[in-house]
Amino acid sequence: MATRSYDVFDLLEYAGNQMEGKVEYWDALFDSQSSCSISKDNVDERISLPELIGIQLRSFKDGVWLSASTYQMEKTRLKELVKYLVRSRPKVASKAKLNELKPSKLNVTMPVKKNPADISLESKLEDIRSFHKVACNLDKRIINVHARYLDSQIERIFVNSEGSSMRQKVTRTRLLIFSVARENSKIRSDFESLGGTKGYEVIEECDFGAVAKKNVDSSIELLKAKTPPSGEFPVIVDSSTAGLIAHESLGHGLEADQVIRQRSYLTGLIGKKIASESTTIIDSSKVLGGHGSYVFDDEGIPAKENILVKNGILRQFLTDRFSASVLGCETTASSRVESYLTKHFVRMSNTYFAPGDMTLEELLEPMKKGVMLVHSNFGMEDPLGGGIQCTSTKGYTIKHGQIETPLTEVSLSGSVLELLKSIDGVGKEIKFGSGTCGKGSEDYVPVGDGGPYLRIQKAILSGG
Amino acid sequence: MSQNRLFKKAGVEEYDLYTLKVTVNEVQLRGFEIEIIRGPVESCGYTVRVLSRKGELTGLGQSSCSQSSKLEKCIRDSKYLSQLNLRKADYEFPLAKKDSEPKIADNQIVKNGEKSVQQYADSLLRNLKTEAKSKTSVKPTFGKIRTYVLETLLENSAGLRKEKTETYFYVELALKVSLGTKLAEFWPRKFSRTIDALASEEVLPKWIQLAKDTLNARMPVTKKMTVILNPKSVCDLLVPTIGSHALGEMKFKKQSLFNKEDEVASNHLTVQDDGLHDFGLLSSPFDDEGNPQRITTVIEKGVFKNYLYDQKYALNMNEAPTGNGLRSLSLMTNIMSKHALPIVGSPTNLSVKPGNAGLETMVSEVKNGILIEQFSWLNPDRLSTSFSSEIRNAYEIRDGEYTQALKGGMVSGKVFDMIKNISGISNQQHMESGATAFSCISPYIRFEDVQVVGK
Repeated sequence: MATRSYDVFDLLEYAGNQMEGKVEYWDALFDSQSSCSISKDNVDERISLPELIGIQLRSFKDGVWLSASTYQMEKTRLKELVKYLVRSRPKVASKAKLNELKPSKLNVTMPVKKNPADISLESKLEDIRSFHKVACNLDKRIINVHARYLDSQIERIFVNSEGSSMRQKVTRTRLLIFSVARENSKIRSDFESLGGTKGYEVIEECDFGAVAKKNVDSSIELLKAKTPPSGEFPVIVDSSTAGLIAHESLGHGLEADQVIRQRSYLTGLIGKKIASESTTIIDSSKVLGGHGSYVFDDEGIPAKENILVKNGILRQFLTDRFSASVLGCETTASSRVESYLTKHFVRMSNTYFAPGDMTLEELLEPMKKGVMLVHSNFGMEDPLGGGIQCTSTKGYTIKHGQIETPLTEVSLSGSVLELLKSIDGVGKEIKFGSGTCGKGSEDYVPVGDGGPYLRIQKAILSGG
Repeated sequence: MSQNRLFKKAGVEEYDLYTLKVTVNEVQLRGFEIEIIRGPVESCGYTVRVLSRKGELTGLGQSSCSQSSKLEKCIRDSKYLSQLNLRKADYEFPLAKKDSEPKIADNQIVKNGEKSVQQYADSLLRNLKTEAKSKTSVKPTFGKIRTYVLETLLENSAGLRKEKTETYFYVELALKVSLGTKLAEFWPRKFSRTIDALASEEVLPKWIQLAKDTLNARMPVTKKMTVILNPKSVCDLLVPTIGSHALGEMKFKKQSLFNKEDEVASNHLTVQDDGLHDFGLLSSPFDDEGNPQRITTVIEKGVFKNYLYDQKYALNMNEAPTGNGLRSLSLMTNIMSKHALPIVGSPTNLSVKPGNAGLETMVSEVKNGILIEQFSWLNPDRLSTSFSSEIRNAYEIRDGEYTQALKGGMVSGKVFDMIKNISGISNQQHMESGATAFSCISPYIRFEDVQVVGK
């Protein structure tokens, strides 16, 4: 069994060589994911060390991909799988060819200040216990606190028929806290999360007291929060909700696999004005420490910064090799897999609104009546219809330029293009958050998103 | 070296070993053409749990690996972890008990997953091509057709040794309909245990009709009204909320809003946790700790009856386990990596007892309301049970008749308020997987006085 890097390169090249001359293109991806997960609440403490290792092989010929994956790191098994990849394919009308690319050679370990693998499990556990304890003692109405630590080290090795030979090692570390407040039959909770392509410095540089207090205060505030008003309102969204809008509403519609499927409401709008002039949106896999950052995508394309919307004008789609070939444009290094077990899809990395020049006070000042959404929770794409669903864990009423009553979970919906065109104020301070993103309901990959405060003239709101 | 010996060598006395081998075959479509054929996609996972004891303290450690050659390290790691988290809590690995045997596998998939997905794809495309020739042409923009075969072996130090083979079939389609410049979509995603449950000639007509109807959809008005939810939406509404508050673990942690014999819902509502339903998505002879799965009544005629227990919370609350210790699947977890998930208390298949009326009768009784067939993502907060979700495919109902397709706007509320306002449940159950919850068996449910938000 091969696990050392040079053995893995040898295995992947062996598999590829079996396909040479029989297909138009092949690639092979080794995926090793090892994690440490600690979760602690007032009753349970769970520690686990999950691991996932395997290889995915792909071949392309006559417009159709074939792929196979295995956990068996042996030449005999790979040779058997190759038989599936060189067989005849169903006939398709669109016999697209992949654009040829120059081979790349890279061997990069993404730097972190402190490698989590160098920290003992005892130390990690002690830190999470301390974090949990700090939060538990802050308010009697907090009936439970969940503290969670997760580090993961992902090693990907990629070779292809063009001669690319690449290896990357990416470390991600996350710290989450989720406190539950209860008063009689009213239960509310909020969460806080920190992390990215970073190491154990996420924990060591974290002010446990401040993060725990912020989270606990928010859960307690939600106990007294009112149900949000329903209908159309002027809105201000915080950086995390701005990030969610950039990601869910616009980003998914720009994934070029949706374009070539004829399933994007943004098809035909490149070069057109789709947002207010103050709007610039970027997707970059090169954001330092961004949760969605990587060295190269899972087709071996080195990471890129892609400007999607510049001053309201739609500039480009996000592409993988196939969609870039069909659309006649460059690939944006956006092909990603959840693991060796899942298909490559066009995906976002770190998606964000660029900052403007307004302070929060300036954004609030002209608003007579409105709603502020803070702390995004989840959203869902509507690539064909161009609709939005973005939900924040809480909100506030705005009256005469002042933030007033706290509100429970607020959801925002409507048309993406109407919403982007009605952005009339952009804050100057940008923040990033970390999360995971599914393609539809599956294939979750780590992503980052963010932005500054945004003021939106009109959006449909509702809340539970 | 045998696995028993590996544990002995590591000085481990109490343990379990969960082995999962999964094989997947898949075809993905782009329009009417095949984009990719995937398979075999094979995964293997070993998860070791070790229990350590020191006086009254117990500690559980869990570690996973993908190769049997790493099992020895996995056992050492688990032992080490179990010694790190020693605490005052009871645990012991279950003894073997007699299991029931619900049907959980489709022989067609077990025999030849690759052929099964190819045949289904052919049949689906044939049916869709016929439809594409009609005036309002419906076309797939993409599709996923996938089979899973899961082979599980669970062994523990108490002498338990259980095996099962189960299957899943997954279909996801985006059906686009266009007329002039107008576009609309219906985007169904469904899991089943068998291919027949999703036979394309059975499921396609309704999916196509929903896509076509959405072409003329408008946004609803903002108003409180009657809302009928389809079984899939009921799955996402009730499983995360009732399913969470019904857990012994939630009671123990003071996070449950349910107390035994409390009236928690309208007397129309009876809910069971049915871990033995034939071809239920979470049916199994035994749960992931080895306890037999069973049928437990959770809510009977609106009254909360029983909590659901995994092994740990059953022991700590002096109750019998109900077979609800699961490596809990959601649509955010990959079935192929299920072995590495922690065991937690979790409902199996929540089953809502059907009512007496047909759906059409329920609709005919509505003065002003909507019937929802699909939300964007109905994802209620499992503690507060509040939710707000965008409508993707729905119908307006006026004076007992469907009058208009709807899209956009939202429905919001608190699930535990809504279940007190149930005015009808249809007479036919459907096995469903939602966008949030993995399994539910439910009819359509009609709720009164629900907030709908639109223009």
